Amino acid sequence: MTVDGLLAVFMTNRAALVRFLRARGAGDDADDIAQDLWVKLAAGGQGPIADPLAYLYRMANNLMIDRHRMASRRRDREQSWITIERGGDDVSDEPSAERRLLSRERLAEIDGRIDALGPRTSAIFRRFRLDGVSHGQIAAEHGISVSAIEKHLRKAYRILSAIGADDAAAEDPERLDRGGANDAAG
Amino acid sequence: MPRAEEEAIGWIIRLRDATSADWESFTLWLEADVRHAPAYERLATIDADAADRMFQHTAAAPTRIDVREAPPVQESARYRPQSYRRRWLGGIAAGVAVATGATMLITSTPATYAVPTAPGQTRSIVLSEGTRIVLDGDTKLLLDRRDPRMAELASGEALFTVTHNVRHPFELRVGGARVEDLGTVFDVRRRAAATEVSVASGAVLYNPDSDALRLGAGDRLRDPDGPAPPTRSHVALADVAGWRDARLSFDDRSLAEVAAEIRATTGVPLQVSPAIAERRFTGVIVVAGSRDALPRKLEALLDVKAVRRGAVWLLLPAGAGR
Repeated sequence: MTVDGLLAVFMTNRAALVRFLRARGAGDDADDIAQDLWVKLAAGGQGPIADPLAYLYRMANNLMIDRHRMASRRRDREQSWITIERGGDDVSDEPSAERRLLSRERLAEIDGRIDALGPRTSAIFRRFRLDGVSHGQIAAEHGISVSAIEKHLRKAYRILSAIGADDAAAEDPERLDRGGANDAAG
Repeated sequence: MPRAEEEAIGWIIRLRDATSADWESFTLWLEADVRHAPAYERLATIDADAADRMFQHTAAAPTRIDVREAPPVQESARYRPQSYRRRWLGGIAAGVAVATGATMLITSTPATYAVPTAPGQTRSIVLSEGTRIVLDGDTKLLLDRRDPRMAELASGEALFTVTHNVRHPFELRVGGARVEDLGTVFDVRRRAAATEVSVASGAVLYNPDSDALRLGAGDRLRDPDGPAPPTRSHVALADVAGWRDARLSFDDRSLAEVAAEIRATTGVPLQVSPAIAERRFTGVIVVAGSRDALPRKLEALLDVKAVRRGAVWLLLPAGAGR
């Protein structure tokens, strides 16, 4: 599919994509994000695409994921900045070092959860998530049924879902008291 | 485990190979309950973080080049800040409305601020990590107090002297494009619906994620807004940011652009008659010296007639009456 073709599919389905972005939590920014999507498409560089509309949804979804991850990181930076400005005896001399430590903790937590998957579930998860292999092929590789693959994947995500479950409280209990309601919005 | 989370896991798995019909069903699911979107968001973030981490374990740590050249379908497993950054700074450009009376405007987000200059005014800024920025007149630059390695040139022209940091390259946003430093002194001009980047030393990457054009010393890139591709030409090193020495060089530019440029640097208000606004000019104009002498000088250089109307100088065709 050419860039022009993709852009045409985008224009035809723009309303549905904006609706999707809104449902995904983009709110008033949905139109702007759709515009970003258009700009990315116009830049070209896409490989062969079997289902252009699904591809557009996936790109929109990825934009939302990036946005959310950036917002969390920014909140972290902002928090450390506020800490410096506020001063006081409870303040670390090196807030950025503290941040790094926290992010190491999160990494360690992620590593721990990945280890907790167990060898078979971990191998299946990798094939699925990193190598992009289909359920059917993974099933064939492991000599088990497709539904068994799906069970392994569900198990993997249940284990990983514990990551960061109590992050907000662990990072800064004070912050929850001050503006807990805003935290969920980002 | 709450039902919303169980269902979100199902969607994460199903969406990997989703058809457009699946995405439509997913939209309906998100809309069905306010708890659905946050549950999915949380899991999608974990999914991306975990995939990044596994990817790092599996392969060598990805370099910036790897990220740039990865096929777009693998985007979710990568960390891609650019679209967010562009949106975010763009929002500020629209949000800069509250003037404090001083030359610095404070935006609604306290960590971000705009630095404007009036026509004829220049201004120098030093950021941490060794970045120095000099603004030409009639320019607006947006900065982030929290991130000294990032700026947006909303309009006008500025000279950037950047100390390179491999781990954290300086990034400039301009006219929807990104310019990433590779250790450099470069000038960026954003006027008349076009972006121009001129490099005096070192190198920059223009739009590292799409065009990925590397500009070295003496290269000038001009990128008009719209679908036309950027063009590259050579510029004499002395002409890069010539405005700093009141020396403006033009390469096949319309008189309207030339006048806007002179006005920005000198503060002399010039307007070009539509009859000659599109006429092209190539050459160097030295605008140092008396402001009053400038219109006469332009008459000779541009083959126009300069007529004063109140505070403004009109540039008319040379043969025009009176």
